[in-house]
Amino acid sequence: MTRLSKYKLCIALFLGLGLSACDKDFEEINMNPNAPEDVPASVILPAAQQSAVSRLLGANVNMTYASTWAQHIAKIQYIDEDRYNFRASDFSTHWDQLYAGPLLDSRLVIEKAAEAGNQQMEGAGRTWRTWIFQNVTDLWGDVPYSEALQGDAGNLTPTYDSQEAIYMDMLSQLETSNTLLASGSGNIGGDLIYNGSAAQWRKFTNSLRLRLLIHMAKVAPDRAKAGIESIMANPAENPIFQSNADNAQLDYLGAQPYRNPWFENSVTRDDHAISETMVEVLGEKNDPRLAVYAHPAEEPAEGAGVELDGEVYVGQPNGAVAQPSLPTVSRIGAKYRDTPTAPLYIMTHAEVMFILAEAAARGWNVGMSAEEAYEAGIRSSMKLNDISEAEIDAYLEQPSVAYEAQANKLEAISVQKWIALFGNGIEAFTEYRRMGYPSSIEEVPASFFPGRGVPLRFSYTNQERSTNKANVDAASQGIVDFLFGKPVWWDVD
Amino acid sequence: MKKLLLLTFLLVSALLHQAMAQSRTVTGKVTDASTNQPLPGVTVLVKGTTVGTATSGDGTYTINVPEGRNVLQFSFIGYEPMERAIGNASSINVTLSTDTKQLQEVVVTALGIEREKKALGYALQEVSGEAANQTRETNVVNALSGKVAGVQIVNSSGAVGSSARITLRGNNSLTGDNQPLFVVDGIPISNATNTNAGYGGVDYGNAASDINPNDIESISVLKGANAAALYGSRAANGVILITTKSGKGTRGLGLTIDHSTTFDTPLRLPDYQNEYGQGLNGRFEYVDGAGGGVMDGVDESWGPRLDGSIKNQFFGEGPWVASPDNVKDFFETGVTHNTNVGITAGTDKANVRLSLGNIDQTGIIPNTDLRRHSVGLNAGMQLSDQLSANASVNYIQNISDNRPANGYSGDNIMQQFVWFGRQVDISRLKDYKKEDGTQYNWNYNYHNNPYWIVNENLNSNQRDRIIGNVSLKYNFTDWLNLMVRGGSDFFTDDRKRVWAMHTLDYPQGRFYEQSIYRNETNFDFLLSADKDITSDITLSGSFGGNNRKNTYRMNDVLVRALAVPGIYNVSNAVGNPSPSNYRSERVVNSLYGTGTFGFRDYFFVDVTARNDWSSTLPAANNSFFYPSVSTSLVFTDAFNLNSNVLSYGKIRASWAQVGNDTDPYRTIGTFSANDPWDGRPNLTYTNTLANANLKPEQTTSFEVGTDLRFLQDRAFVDFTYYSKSTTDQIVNVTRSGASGFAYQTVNIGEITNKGIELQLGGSPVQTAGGFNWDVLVNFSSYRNEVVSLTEGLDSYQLGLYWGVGLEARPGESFGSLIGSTYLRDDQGRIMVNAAGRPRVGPTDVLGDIIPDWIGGVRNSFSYKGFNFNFLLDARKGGDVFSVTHMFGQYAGVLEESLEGREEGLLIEGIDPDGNPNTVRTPAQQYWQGLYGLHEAHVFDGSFVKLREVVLGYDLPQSLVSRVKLRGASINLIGRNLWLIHSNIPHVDPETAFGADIASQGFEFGALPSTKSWGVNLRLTL
Repeated sequence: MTRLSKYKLCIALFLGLGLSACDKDFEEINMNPNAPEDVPASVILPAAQQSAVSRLLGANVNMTYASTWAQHIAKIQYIDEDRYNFRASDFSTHWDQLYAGPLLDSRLVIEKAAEAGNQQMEGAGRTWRTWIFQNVTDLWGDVPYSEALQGDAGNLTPTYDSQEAIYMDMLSQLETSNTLLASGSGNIGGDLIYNGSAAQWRKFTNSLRLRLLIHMAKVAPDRAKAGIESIMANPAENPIFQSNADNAQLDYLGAQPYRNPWFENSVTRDDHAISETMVEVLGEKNDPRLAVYAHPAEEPAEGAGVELDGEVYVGQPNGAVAQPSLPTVSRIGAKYRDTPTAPLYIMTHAEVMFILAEAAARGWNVGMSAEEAYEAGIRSSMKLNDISEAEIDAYLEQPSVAYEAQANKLEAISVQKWIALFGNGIEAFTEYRRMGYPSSIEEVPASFFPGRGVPLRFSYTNQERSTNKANVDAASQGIVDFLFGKPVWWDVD
Repeated sequence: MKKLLLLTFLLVSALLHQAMAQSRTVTGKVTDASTNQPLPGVTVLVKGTTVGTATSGDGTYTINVPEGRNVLQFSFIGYEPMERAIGNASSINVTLSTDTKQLQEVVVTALGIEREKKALGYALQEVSGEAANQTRETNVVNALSGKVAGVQIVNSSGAVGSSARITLRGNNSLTGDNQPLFVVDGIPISNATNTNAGYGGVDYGNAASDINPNDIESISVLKGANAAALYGSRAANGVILITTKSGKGTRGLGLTIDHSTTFDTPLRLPDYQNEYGQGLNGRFEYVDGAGGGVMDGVDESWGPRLDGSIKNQFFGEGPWVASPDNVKDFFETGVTHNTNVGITAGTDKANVRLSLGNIDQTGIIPNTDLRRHSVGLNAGMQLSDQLSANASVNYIQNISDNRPANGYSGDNIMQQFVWFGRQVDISRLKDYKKEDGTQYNWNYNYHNNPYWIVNENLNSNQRDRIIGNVSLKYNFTDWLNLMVRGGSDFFTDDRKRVWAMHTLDYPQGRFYEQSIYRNETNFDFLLSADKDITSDITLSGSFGGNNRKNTYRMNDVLVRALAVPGIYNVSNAVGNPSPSNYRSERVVNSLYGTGTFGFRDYFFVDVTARNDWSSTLPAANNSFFYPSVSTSLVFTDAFNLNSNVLSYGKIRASWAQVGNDTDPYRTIGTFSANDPWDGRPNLTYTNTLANANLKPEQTTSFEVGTDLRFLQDRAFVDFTYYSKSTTDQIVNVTRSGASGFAYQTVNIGEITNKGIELQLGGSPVQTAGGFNWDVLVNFSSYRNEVVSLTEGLDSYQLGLYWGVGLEARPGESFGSLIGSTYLRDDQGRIMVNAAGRPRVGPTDVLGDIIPDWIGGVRNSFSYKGFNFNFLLDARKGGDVFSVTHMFGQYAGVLEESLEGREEGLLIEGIDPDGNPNTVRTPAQQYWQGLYGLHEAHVFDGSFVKLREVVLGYDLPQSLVSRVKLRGASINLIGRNLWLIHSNIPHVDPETAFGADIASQGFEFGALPSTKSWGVNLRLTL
């Protein structure tokens, strides 16, 4: 039987039955009535924003892994991940959901904005994509980048780029963004971060450049120095965060399904406490942020923890052998865990100040002294946590804090940065891996991989091993026990 | 409208035709030639017409013979057919002699065409309605277990109305169904599974379970693509062809009443330890059950030894002792009342059967139930000499006030029993609510009180379904006829899940309501010719067409928080409800033809051809053609080889292709919407790369077989070898997410299945005194190989749970379990870490879910009115990843976790320095360390089960006729009574995570399967 024309078929079937469906074209029947094939960039951008923030700074990547491994917080029930006994499926999910989610959506934002000649939207899209990639590469090291996100063009097995190459391209992406955002052409519709303000997007873009460059401070000091100095030499062309008002943050709506993810987690789970490491670091300095980062312990054991303003705060040791009695340890503070509208911080003014402090301490010219930047960073972080000016002044005068009193300037800056990054586990995990501070962080007692130390990275995924094997195998050279063996590029001694 | 006009025209012309016709009446009696006993049920047909009747209980018949017709045909299974000229006679008595070959077995084949079994060139196995329904299983799929060679059935759980999965000759397709097409009286019906199992959900049953087993006359299982080329794409996995009972061939009024009551209890529960109670590190001091004391929020049993000391517990002070039956005691005895009334009536011009069914079921889980009401009406009418009409309609209503939730979810009551405190006395939890409306429980951290779950968080649904068809058949001459038919299967399913306020995960309460509409409508015609060319050569053929339309609509709404408790209405929502809807449509048009050539009634050749046009494929590829050819030779007749030893022998061979389309909307990628952000729409692009160049899938199959009978048919063997290959499958393959797409819709690869099916049967004992012993064996085995996938794809992931993938890998079997292994040195010795615990090695193939073989043996004994039969069902192989085992060890509730509790365990292995391990590891750390070490939890799924037992007694005719009955019988029935052998600890090896392919080979917290026993009464009036 050869192929009949549709016309003949209809005649034939009509003779038999009088079929109605022949009237209707098949292609019309197969048009999806449930979802659009094309939409403008302004409705994709908010999806790319909220999904990326919720994933990278939310309950799993951040709370269960990054903030826990950075020892900001510690697990008190189902301690497995805190002992580095990760769930392979978690990493697979995050990898796929980031690439085939906000990263792809950001690519579409950039493309559709470019097609429409909307330069500011294109700039915001490039910055956003870079922020996501920065987190991905800081967690996993070498990852698909230059060939990534091109499945629809036929590349389904993207090669892994070296983290160094990724950093170089991310920096040039951000420079392009800075130019596009300055053009004054177009608008950033649908924006959940800055409500369309190109000026603030520009500040975020340049602040993010500083973050990338400071990550390179040890592995590529010359490039880092040149980059930071050139940004700081021309503030008019390279505006950066001036205060907390410029912070990149996502304010949650407070109503489901858009409640703060840490809050959402607290509704059903009670798995995390403030870590002992954090309580000790803050306690040594009488740091008033302790009362913001943590709740007092309900029933502290005799002599345990740190006393502040008459309350006792007890941190949980990370990766403990045994689960604690729950009332004896301090939960994460109300501002971070008990508030459905609480923002998640993508990047803060305090972080920028600590970046500049480190650069200055390394002798680079950033237009201010290390001490100025260090103090500005502390002030900014304190203010973000609603600490009064008087308390801040008193804090800064303490020998444990005052810049001139610090023997190891880089350590002091790094520890203060680590404190200020509370809530942003990925950046804190990076800070620890890069600088080795706070030095009290060490391998947890009940490590699933005894003797290997603190994890150096997230594990590559089983999905990649089955769908992109040659490339992930090449990138896995040197990795031992999934998380160890080979540090990421900027993690050098 | 056009259809209606056409039907009206046909009807009117038919009635006119009838009015003009003249006819006369012939009566008579049919008796058995050897015994002279009257033969009831003999078909009497006016040759060249569809005018027919059947003899009544005393062998008599009355028939109206149309003008111009002069021959009556008499036929009855097992007897030689006979033709008699009428002449001027008004009374014709005939005697029929038994068919010496006794092999004129008539079976129902594709398109409902009745064929002699010997003419078939492919394997087809029939199960009578009686055999399928004898243990009163309410799900027709389960009723086939062990009765057909090559059929594998997996029941997902013991929940009321739960779904069962059926596959014939294994899995061919990666796309996730692989189940055969169900056809009822010529009309395809939905067997959609509605499990949503996985990470929690409710099993709403497989849709074919709506079929009332009491209405089934027979089930033909068309196993291969060979048998099914005429049903189109969906028949690539075989066809379950169900013929329902009708009033055809009955005279006067008949009434059959069946009632059964059966009782269900759990078949198997895990073996628990009863020496240590709740807690961790040997410690437990209760304060608030939420971590306020010492380990009192822990839901594991690594606590203090159950030494009988007085301890504060969730109910107050009490002895610290084991509650060995705390899980068992939660379950109740489920009761099923199944009542059916069948009424038949017939004249020589019309027949009708009315069936009323009622199933009232309560589950083994408290407060779960299912009620199914069904009405079936099947009517046939002789409108004229040439024209006949048939119509059937079935209405089925399923109502459940509460179905249990399953899967990995706090809504599944089994979840907390996989954890649990071994000292918890479950009877103390029955008063589950405190005065303030909050829960009272043994643990306030992770679990809801199981009685709260089953009494407050209800999962109700109501499915109303109508399956109906109307057909007309017109005989142009005695060798040419036309059938036109229209049929529809549609249902609405309204589902609601509620979570009361103060439920642990949803302290503000929540509910989800979903309404599903599914419709499949088919119109078809078939022009058939059947002619004896010479006395040696017969030719028959048919040409037909079909138009199929599938419609699916779904509306749902999720409310995440309630303002006032107990009001599950959208108006009671706090915050914005999340509504969604979805609809899809598919049209397939087809033309097909068949031809059969027969020579001397011992050699046959069949050819079929079909072309489909599907709306779901791209325009360039939406037409696809597929043929089949088959042949059979009764060599004992052809070469006169019949002997006392070999009484019958047939060989057969066939080759067939089946094309297949895909689901709607897979050719163009789209954006999907998240909940609006403060009124701002936010849409994300699909993570599945669509494909504008999809081609139809194709399955090619080949089979050969033989059917041999020995010793005057006292023993038989039916053997089939088959080989199937499926290419260009349309699947969503997993891609590197880094490509921007986690999945891609593609045509891929080749999967082959090669297997054998063997049926053996016989009657070892037949005594003159009336004692009979019959044995029937079904055996099948197949090998499955993923020959290739596609460029750049090393594996296709069918399912993934807890890091264990169910994958199809080239060179491996379809359905390999892939997970983490023990790290071993080059001598294969397990390597341990410095703490003396096994290290996790690379991921690898841990098992294969495909069984080595499946078999069933039925032994039947009968003596006078008594009959006794039992069915043993066995499976060899078929690996399972038991998550109950993994979590149950982690939680220290399983028996084996007692090992090393006091002194620790010395694991045999090699330490990091390369020496034999000397470090003892504490038991808790060891057993918990096996979490995520998947190799430790994969088991061989072999089992032997006592599937069915029936003891029946037919009351003697002399007795029943005294109370004006035609028959009465009583049966004691049992199902799944005994798991005789299992290699998997703790759980029923037959349970899976759900009925979809992704859930096969995984087990977690399955609601226990049930063993049932009961009694069935049948009265025939």
